[in-house]
Amino acid sequence: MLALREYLQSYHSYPGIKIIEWKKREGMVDVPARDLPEILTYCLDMRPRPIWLTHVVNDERQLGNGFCVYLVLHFPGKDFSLTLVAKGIKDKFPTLSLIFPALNWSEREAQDLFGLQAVGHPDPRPLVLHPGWSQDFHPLCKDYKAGQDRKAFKRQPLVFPEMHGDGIFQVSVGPIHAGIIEPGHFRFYAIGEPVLHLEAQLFYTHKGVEKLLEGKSIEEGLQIIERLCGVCTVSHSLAYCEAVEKLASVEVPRQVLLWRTILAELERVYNHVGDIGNMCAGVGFALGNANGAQGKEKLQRLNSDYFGHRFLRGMVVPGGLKSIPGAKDRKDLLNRLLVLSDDFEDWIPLLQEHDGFRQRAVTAGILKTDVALDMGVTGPAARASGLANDWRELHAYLLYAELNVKSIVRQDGDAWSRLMVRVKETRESFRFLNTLLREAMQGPELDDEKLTALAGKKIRLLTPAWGCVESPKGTEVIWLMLDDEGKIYRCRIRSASYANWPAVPLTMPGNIVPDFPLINKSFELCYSCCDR
Amino acid sequence: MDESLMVLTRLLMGLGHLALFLVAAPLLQGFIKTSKAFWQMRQGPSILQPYRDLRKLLNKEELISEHASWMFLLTPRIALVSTLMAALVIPNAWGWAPLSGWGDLFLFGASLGLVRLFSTLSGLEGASTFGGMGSSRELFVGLLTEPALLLGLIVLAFITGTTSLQGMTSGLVTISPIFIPRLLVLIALVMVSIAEMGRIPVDNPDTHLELTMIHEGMLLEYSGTSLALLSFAEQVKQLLLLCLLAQIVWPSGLISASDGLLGLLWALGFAGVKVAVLGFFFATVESFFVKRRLFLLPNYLATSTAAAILALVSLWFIRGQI
Repeated sequence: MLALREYLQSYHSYPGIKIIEWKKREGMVDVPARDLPEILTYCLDMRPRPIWLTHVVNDERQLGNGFCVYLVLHFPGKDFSLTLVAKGIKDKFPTLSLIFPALNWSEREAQDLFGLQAVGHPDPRPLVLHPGWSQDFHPLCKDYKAGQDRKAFKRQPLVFPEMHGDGIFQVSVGPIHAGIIEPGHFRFYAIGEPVLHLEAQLFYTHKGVEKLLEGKSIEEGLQIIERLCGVCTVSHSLAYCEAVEKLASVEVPRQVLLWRTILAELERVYNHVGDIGNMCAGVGFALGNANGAQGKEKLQRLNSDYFGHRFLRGMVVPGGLKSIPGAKDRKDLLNRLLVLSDDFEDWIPLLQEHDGFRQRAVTAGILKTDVALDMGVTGPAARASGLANDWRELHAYLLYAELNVKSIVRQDGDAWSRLMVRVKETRESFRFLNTLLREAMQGPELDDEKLTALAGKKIRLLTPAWGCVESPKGTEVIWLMLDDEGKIYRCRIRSASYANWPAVPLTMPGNIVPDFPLINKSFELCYSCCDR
Repeated sequence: MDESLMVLTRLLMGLGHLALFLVAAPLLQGFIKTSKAFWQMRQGPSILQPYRDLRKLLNKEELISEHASWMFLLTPRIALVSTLMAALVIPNAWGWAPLSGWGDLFLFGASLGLVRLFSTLSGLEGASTFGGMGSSRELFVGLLTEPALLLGLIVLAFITGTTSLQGMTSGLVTISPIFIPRLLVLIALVMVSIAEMGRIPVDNPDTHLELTMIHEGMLLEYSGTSLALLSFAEQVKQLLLLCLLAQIVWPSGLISASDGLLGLLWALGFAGVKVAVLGFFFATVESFFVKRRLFLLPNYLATSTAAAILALVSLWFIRGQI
């Protein structure tokens, strides 16, 4: 990373560029907003190419900094994360989407929620706020008080691009669907069955969570973060706790790390098994779907029996864990997991060797490697397209360094690859759980004081920190900044689904309309934590 | 006096024939769903659930798209009536059909065709995209199934020397079950029946995925009574196809006519078992196979047409004439 540091120091506007912090793993650099595009271009030219962790816009006008843009990049292989900060933005900032399309949504969101203008943005349509909100409604600005503009919304029709030509027609689907799924509107531009273009309109479940978090205490914040969506509770709360622990400079004891790893892997297993089953529903394969649903249910009951919650909610707290199972429960947990792992191995060949299923999934919805890279795709979707970006390998947090996690990579980028990545990761996770629980069985009983280490620690205020976790859907990043009273000043949630959703429509052209459910399910993205 | 009594008896028997199909159709649907639940390791709804669903739909308010014309309301009625028309030529448990000898197999094909015509037209009525997609796909599938269905039945007509379906089933009793043309026809008809019933691998009757729907896509705008009639018509059609297949696989009529009422009941029970076995077979296929890619359906359906043509050719070889 020395080269990067030297580049920044010798940059022509230096000392406009100010290196605030440069440690072994993390750095933070103050950059004038107008220099961001050039510096980002330099970073993106480095090999291996950096990935984006999060892009945060923050209203720091009360602190005298104007609006600020924080861009967190990670340099794989070197395990170094760099935060570029552009302060003093008044009402516009130069767009980075042209250089790095992954930031497209994030910048559009900043336009909606802060009223800033991303100059030169290729697609400046509103994203989060649907048509019908007044022009000066920018809820994330500090001078906006929640609830005051609730009645200002006048429903207006959604605006979509037009497409003309012989035999082209539009198929609009949703936001209300025939099944029990979350709301999203999809518009297909098709000639007969083959799709030319797909527009996805999300953010129907935008609840203003980031605004809601402002002014909340750390504990209240955790409760909201845990409820962002149903399926990635542990990952969300782990990312949040990591950010808090960074601010409080807390070293978490090994026993806590161990159980946190177990929780994270339990979450991955039940999600992956359920997602594999759901893909079968996408092709109408009843037997596979039934097996997946059954496996997921058994794993969730196991969660409920030993951790008190089907979604493992309420386990992770800043600095520690709420409780951990006793010695006898640990043994039972391991035994039950071994049985479930055997179950999984029993039914998975049913899919792997199913000609009809392969027929549907192979070559369906190909996500090319360079597209995945440009769009900043994460999780199984990225790994199926040849990107080895498992955060457990890149950063090796918790106990993943000891487990020696390797990204499971496939090259084809189709629905089948995404399925196979999940299958292999589930196997790996069962193996990790086996190792971890065997260690846990030898571990001592813990009393609760040891588990909550945060009390009495001094927390750094008005300093940004981020936590990052590999959830079943991909890399989750939570960026946190506390105000001078220790309440949340700004909390930005970049969920894996948020990073992946923009890539889904790009995989559709060339496929036929009836293949969309399968392709969509092979990404298996969450609407709730994307829309927030 | 005797003649009018004859007519009256025939009329009553005919009505009884229809009533039997009407009563049994939801039961078959329930049985297939129970069989699928068995394969999916679920408890599944009661076998009587389809009756309850129909009653529920009949009591529900009906909503009609503002874009729809009279065709929209006419279709469900036509669908049920014309399915019943087809039912008149299908031999029942006792090997008897009210309208035998009226060019049955063409009447059968035409009645099903009429249902298809009206349902595809009314799929467009609601002016929703799914209806249009459903109609377009239905015609695409229909184009490929109808020739195979008719050709298959025509080969049977050649084998037995009659176009009456009742005559065919009684004629097949004397033909060996492994007679090659008969087997080939059976293959063709089984494959076509799957498509006609809207089951996997052609269509998915349980789907909630709007984008993949074929038959359900056309029904998406329907509600209340009209939906009840359409689903009912679909269930009757399913029973008709299975009855026909059962009679081709193992023709049976009155097992021992002399036994009176007991004989009638035996025949009914035997036919019920045959249809149930077939129903279980299709439920099994539906549980173990996946829905095929839409554009690969022609390959699948062409196989059934090919089987029917092979049946014709092999019959020609074996008999030396047709």
